[in-house]
Amino acid sequence: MNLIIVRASLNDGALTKRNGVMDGLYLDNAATSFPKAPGVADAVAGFLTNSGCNINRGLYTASFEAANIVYETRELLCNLFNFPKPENVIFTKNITESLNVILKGLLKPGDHVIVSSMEHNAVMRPLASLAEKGVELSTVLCNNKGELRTSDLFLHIKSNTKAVIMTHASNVSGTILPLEEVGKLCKEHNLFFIIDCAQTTGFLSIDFVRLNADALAFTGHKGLLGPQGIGGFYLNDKLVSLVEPLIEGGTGSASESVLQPNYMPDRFEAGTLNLPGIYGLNASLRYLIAEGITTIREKELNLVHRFIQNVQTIPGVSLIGPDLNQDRTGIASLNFLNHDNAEVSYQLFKDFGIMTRCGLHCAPAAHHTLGTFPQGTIRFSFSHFNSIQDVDYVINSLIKTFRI
Amino acid sequence: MLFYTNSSAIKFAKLIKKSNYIGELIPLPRKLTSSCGMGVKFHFTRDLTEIISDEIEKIYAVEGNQYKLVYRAEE
Repeated sequence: MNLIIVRASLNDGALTKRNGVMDGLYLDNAATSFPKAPGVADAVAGFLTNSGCNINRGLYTASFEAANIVYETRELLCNLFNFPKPENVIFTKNITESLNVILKGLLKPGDHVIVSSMEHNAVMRPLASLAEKGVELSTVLCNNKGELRTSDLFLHIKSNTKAVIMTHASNVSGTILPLEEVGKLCKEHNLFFIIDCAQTTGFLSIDFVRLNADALAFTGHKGLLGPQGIGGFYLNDKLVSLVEPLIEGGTGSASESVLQPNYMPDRFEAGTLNLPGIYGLNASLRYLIAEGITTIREKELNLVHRFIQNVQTIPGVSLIGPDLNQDRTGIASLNFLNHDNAEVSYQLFKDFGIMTRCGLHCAPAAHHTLGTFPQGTIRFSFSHFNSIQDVDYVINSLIKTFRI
Repeated sequence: MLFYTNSSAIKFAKLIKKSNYIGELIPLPRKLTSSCGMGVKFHFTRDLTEIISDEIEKIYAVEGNQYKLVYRAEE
């Protein structure tokens, strides 16, 4: 295998070129985080090397130990998100699967749901297919910075409105949506409130109870700094019985019955779990809790603010989404007015090893809202493992690219 | 003690450990259940109502090598 050495930070010196290929500085953390939290790789490898057994299926100590780690990981997620009950934490392979289970398990023909115009396709595609089966969908239009006014959402509530599904923050612009206000409104109008936390876990302090949420979907491999292939969701007790499982099969419990058990978490966890992924997530959650979400957020904001301040001095660069003085996540999306965004992104990698994400970011609705459809943007998404030197390197590379 | 789910068994095992009871997670004897799960075996002489929850399916008292049903959840 010829591997590019992907670097999280320039702290250890300049990037090098080998065999004509530049090593990479990774700035695509909104897609998946790199590097992962310290201890994640060891936890995954340790499980595969030393233990490797399934849970709920074997009656030996190693199996019990794995079962304990799985349960403990549910508890860590409760600790981080203020979920009330560990058994209502369900593991899936990623947040897309989580959202599919919740939406397809809950919504019936004749139901009406409301979303923002900043949603990712992980929400929009399941809803589009449900719409063909008779689920009604309303979209609250956000402004051109991606901001949502709760009073606009109120106007869409009808007698058959069942739920509001909303992203916590845009994966394109980094705009943070006012979930606490939306949660209150949902509670007043007896609507289920389903949250997509793909972009905010490990960055914002998330309190399930305070947000008045009924369901929350998360993934392990972005801000939670765990491996790919592990995600999950939380349901409150009311939704547990209303959401029909998408997958049925062996759970190692109630084995005498051919019916899927109704008990949590078994109701939604048929088949073998991604145990290496859960061991990895366990390690990353411990890191996040020890490090503190606030510390991580401040580091990332410091980097992204420095980036925005400097990039805005380059002619022909337009910052999409919130202004510098507004709340945002650790990402910045740019539109290059005199250049093709894809060409700039490619040049940044080819000449300077900078890895960004250009295009529509699987969120065409958001790009329509932000006025960047169909050209898309280049997204720079930072991690708290990045340094000030990394930011300055990117700025200097952009300046060199445009030969200003 | 038999639970509806293995998660409940793990949760209860953690609780008794915290409360300093002597006990552990065990594979459930086949004569007690056809489920392939785990249960908790521990030393307890006080009033059962102190520990009953809706996660518990059955409780057996161990007398020598005999199991005597002392609690069963209502269906």
